[in-house]
Amino acid sequence: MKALIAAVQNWGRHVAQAWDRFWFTPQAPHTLALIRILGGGMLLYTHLVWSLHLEAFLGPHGWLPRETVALLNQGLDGRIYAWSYLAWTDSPALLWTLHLAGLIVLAMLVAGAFTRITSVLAFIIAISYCHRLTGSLFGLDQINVFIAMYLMLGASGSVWSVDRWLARRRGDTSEPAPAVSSNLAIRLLQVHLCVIYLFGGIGKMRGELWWDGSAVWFALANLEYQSLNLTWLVHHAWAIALLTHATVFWETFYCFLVWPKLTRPVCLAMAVAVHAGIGLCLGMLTFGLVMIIANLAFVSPEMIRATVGWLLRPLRRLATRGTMPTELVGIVSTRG
Amino acid sequence: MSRMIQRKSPRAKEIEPQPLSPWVKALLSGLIAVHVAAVFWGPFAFACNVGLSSSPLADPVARVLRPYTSAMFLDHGYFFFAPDPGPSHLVRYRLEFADGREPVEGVFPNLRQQWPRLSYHRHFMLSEALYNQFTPPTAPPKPTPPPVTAPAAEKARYRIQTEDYRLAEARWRHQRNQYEALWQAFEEHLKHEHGATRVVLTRVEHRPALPGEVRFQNRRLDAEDSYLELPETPPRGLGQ
Repeated sequence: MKALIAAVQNWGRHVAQAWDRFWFTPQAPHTLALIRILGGGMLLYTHLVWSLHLEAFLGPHGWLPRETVALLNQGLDGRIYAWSYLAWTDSPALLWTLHLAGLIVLAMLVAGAFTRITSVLAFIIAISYCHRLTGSLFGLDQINVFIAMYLMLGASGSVWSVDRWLARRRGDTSEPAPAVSSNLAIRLLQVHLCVIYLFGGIGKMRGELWWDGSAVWFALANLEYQSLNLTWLVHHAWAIALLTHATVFWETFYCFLVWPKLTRPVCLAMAVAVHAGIGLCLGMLTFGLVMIIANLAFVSPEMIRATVGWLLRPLRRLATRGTMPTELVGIVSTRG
Repeated sequence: MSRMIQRKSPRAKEIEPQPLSPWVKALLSGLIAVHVAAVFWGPFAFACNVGLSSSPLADPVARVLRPYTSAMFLDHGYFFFAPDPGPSHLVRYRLEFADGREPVEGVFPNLRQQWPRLSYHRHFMLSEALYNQFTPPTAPPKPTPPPVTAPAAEKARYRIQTEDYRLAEARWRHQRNQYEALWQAFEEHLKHEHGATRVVLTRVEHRPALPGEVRFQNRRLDAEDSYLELPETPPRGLGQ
């Protein structure tokens, strides 16, 4: 009996240590910073596109009037938890003021200016638009909010940002420190992404077309989604079946295969292929891109720093030749 | 994954992060556990919802978590193209004018009118939302009361059926109100946008072609008979 108690205690200690290591090991901020730039860019683009239809969707005679959306967001018990500052007004002047202010905040997030504040505001903006625009949303909006939610937790502005540049101007030459908050944000992104894929896979497992190998055909042959005509694949039924089965298995088992170092590259390569395919063939480039951006959470900060450093080599060469403003040199430095 | 950057630049110093106290870690762990549970439970409850029945575990917990999952926009199923990629749904409209102008017909979404693609997709989601929200205008059927002489078991069954009916009727009324509100919002928007006095909406389903139809019959994806007008009232005998 004593041996059993000791074994359970030992197991409990290991679990506690693993939990501590998983959530509270400080991490360099480069992965989160790149997600801030790209994910923030997608948030900015999404809201820029709303500018084209601001009054047509949110105005007093819009597609989605306030009262209608309130009813759509209401549960059977009559309660509404889907809050939005945009639900307070449909005055065009006020809507435009709030919208422009939102765009400025999102642009500041991309640039990494006052990131601790702008990342929180960006989350409030993203979620407010989603809660106010129920009925016009799709996967892009879910992933936009999911990225914004975790960006506000971590120190995403400590590299490749205006914040970093300002710190340098103040004489702070220290390396951006690994932080627990960056790790927390990345870990939550990873876990949340696993949940998304798991239920995406489980949902498909319930469908018959994902088992008879024809589901991808019905996605490709959907004229309303189609942006690239791949219906010639109908002459290669085996290829359609391969794509169908690979999608289901990859999506369902992503949450297991993405953690071991051995299978992670394959899992992420599949993610890029599937989402690029959705983006190019099914007319959802924004959704495809934002999913690829979310998958960056599984790329180590060292890899991100090295890759960005390699990509920025031409800019640094310009800097060393003195043909680039010194202000930009600090921002493109891989040290942040 | 979480290895730190080891190399230090000779010109720069690295500030060591302050370790968190056990109390802070315990507090954060509690918050993480609640959040991850909410992240999981949203799609889990959605997946458990199969037709009219659901898991007696998933639903009550989802109700408890709803204030958080709903407020944080976590209440999704993530069933992208699932369980099966189905037909898409459009809305046709016919605008009529009091000033003698000819009626105008249109459809949304419309790739020719909505650009960039994201804008088109927003209009596409509007028509899909109207389809998903559709609730027939007739309430679910009331259970028939048993005769006075019916055995106790049958009377007990009737009591349970009456309870279920109350819930089903409340759900139907709520969903029907939502559908009618959305329908009316679309009508009002189109009237205002085009200066029309009357608008007639029709929900349309676009059935995708089967592989065999394309391969052996050269069927076009936009074949006229692949567009099916959806009725607003259920056929006789259904939903009565």
